[in-house]
Amino acid sequence: MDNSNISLYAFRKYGDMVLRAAYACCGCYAEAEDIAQDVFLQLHATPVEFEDDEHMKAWLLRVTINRCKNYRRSFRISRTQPIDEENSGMYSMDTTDIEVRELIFSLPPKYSAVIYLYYYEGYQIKEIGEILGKNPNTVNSLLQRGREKLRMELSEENKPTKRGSVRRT
Amino acid sequence: MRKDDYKKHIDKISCTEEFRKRMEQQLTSESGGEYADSVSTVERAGRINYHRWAGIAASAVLLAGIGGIAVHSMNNVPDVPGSSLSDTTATTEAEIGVTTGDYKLEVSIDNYDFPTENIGTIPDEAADEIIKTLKEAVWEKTDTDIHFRNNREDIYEEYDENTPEEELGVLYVFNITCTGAEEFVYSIGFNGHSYLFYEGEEAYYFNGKETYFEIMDIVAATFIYREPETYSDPLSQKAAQLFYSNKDIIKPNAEQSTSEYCIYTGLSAGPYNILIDKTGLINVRYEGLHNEEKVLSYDSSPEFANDVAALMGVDFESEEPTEATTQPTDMTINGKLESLLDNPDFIENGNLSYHTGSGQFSSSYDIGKVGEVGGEEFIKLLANYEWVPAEDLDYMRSDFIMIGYNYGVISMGGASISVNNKGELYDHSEGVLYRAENVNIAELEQAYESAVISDNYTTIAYSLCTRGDDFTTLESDISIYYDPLDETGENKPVNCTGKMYYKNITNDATKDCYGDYYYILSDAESGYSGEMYKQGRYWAFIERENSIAKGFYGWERHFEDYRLFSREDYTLSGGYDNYDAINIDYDMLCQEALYTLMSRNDDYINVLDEELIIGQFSNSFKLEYNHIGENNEENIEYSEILEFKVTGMGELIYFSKSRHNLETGEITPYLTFRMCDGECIDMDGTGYAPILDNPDFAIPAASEELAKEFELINGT
Repeated sequence: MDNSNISLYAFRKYGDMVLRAAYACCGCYAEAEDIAQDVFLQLHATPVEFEDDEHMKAWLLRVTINRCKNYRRSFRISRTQPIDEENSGMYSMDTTDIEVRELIFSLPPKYSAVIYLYYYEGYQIKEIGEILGKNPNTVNSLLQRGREKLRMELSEENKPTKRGSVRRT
Repeated sequence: MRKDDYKKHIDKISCTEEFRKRMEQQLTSESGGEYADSVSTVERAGRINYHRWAGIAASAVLLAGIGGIAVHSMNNVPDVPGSSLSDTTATTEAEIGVTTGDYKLEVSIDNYDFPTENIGTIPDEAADEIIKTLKEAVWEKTDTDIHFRNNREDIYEEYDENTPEEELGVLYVFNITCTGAEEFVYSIGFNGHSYLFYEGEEAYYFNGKETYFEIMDIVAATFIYREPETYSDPLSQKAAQLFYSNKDIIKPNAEQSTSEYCIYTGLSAGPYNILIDKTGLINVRYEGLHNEEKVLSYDSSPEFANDVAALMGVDFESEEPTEATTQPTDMTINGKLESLLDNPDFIENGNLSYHTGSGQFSSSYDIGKVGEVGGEEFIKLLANYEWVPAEDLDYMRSDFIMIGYNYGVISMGGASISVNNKGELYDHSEGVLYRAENVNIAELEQAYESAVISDNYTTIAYSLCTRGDDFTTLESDISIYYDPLDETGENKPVNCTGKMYYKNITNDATKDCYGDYYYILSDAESGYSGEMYKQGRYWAFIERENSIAKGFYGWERHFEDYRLFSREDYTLSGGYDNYDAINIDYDMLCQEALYTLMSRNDDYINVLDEELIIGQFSNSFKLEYNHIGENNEENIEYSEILEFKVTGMGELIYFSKSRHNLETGEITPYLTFRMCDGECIDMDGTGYAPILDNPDFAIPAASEELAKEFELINGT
């Protein structure tokens, strides 16, 4: 398989995943697109031999996350909040989407990366450690802190609530 | 944020058709473009030449808009005695596991003053030289845990406020990212000695200064800055091009001069704001690690200044100076305070602001103009003390009031002076902390309070900052918006206004100080009301029917329904968070606790007509957790119980601080249980019941008299 096939194959199979991972780390669609582009072009320019698709996926995730960390501190004339991506026509956003995006944007990439890998991709702590090259305890700590910063409700199930009703006079 | 919301949101992210087409086209073209390696000849740099490196690094600050090594620090490199590293283990040569030519090096230079990434690349030959230098160096492995930290937040998270600054980590970190078969990073830091850290191995090696500076010299000689054209924003491109094309004339200012006539250009990179005056003097202003103001100065030319002004649309003639007064740098802090009082412009335009929190969770509240809020008296009181520079850490570690000018960015200039609740003073322009003998905190607080007109929560916030003992009569109007669910399960946003009181509670045994906030809210339109309690780090909001409540605060209270909210407050100091629907989250255990406590039992409802006595234990005992139900979870422990309630029915209800799963690290707040005959009785139907491990803990007999006694004891 030549270089273009590897990168093309990777893009067709994992393009959305890389974009999501980048977005989950930076909270901005435009940045995520730039990062995703960088990742696949890097693979295109510097081919990598993968053992299998899982290896490729893990490599793409690591590279994407590393790029996210670098990208957020790159040169900006003025730091602005993400543009209203509803206006850019990327996808339709409701109030919840806006809130989630802002929370992601506010979170440093090192936290948002493990949050994404754990809660979206479903990796275990140890697997995340292998992907990111970090000690599992470190991953655990980052996950915990990330949740605290997000005040995320991440319980596996929602117990039925017992609430009183509110009667208005 | 709920997990489902998060997942649903991420699910929406996918490549657009345009992006797909573009990528397909690029990925089927030949390799090259900006990712192709660049080649240039390299001469091995000579020995360390601080001035040459300083010149190049200075340009790096402005060329990419992000920093190189902080130039002004280079000449003050600390000389760490070798004896401080005497705890090293056996000497070993670090294995630099890189095959020459099989990598691409990207250079980033970090220190906690000037974090930067990807400011450019170095050619392969230079990379080879660097790797060769690393391999030829003799590295000793050390067990000392040297932390490479890239930004202030990392340091705040990892270390407490008492950690000496020199232990906070390496001053400069030089990262070489190798991308080849695998991507890995070598970090070479310097803090008097060179430290090598290879990510993944988690080992630290050190040797003398030389290796670090040899590598820096190579980079300085061969560095290829990121091309302006790679910036996506057109204005960024133009600005980068402007600086890039003038890189030979931008040089560090020898005296590191600052000028009041430097105006904001509108150019910034992250936290670094670039100012310039018409002579071409450039001031790059930013906040240091401890929120102190820092400035780097460069010289350029009047022509360059005009070009920048034209690009950014600023006018040197019409802009106000950024500093109203130019204070001699050798003025003492007392002298500065006196000069503020003598400056009518400052009295008129200077302002006071209250700052709380740190890092990304810091908040600032504008208190008002100095002259309007009686700041003069406040400053006079400060000026009466003889302030002496502190010998220890030089920044404020608690909430503070800042006196200065505020242009909406950060308060800066020679007039920025802060005072905190410990009676310490901080001069932001010099980055020096001052203390004085016999500072009367109460007097300071009184001077401020008597002058402040503001009737909003900033008054309360300042009072909290100064840790007043009792402000039960100190009230404030507050407004809270929250979003409860009604009986149909739909969100019904409610705006409530009300009164807030504050009372400080001190545990005499531990001297821990807790603030209790008590709100009474009412919604005149809907008759909706409730009360919020804050105990320790947790909030409880008890929602009541109608707008009146009786009891301790003299309000009649009728209710039939109730709802418990809770949230964890991450700051214990004064100041406020925004109370809106997002910040008020449901805590399942608290709901169950409330339901159990206030179940639809007439007796309980009657109980709530009585006063709820709130007391606190602190560090009194630790519970072991033992699940008595079907699922045996052994790795759970509870932290110390912090609060309890005694109901009018004589039951003692305990709220534990947190439930900590030792295996997963998950922490959930609150568990309610009831003591009965020496045993903890599960109240929330989960089958969990803690077991006391403190034999000295005596279960008090529950009675109304005892409840009152607890109130008097107030936490002991």
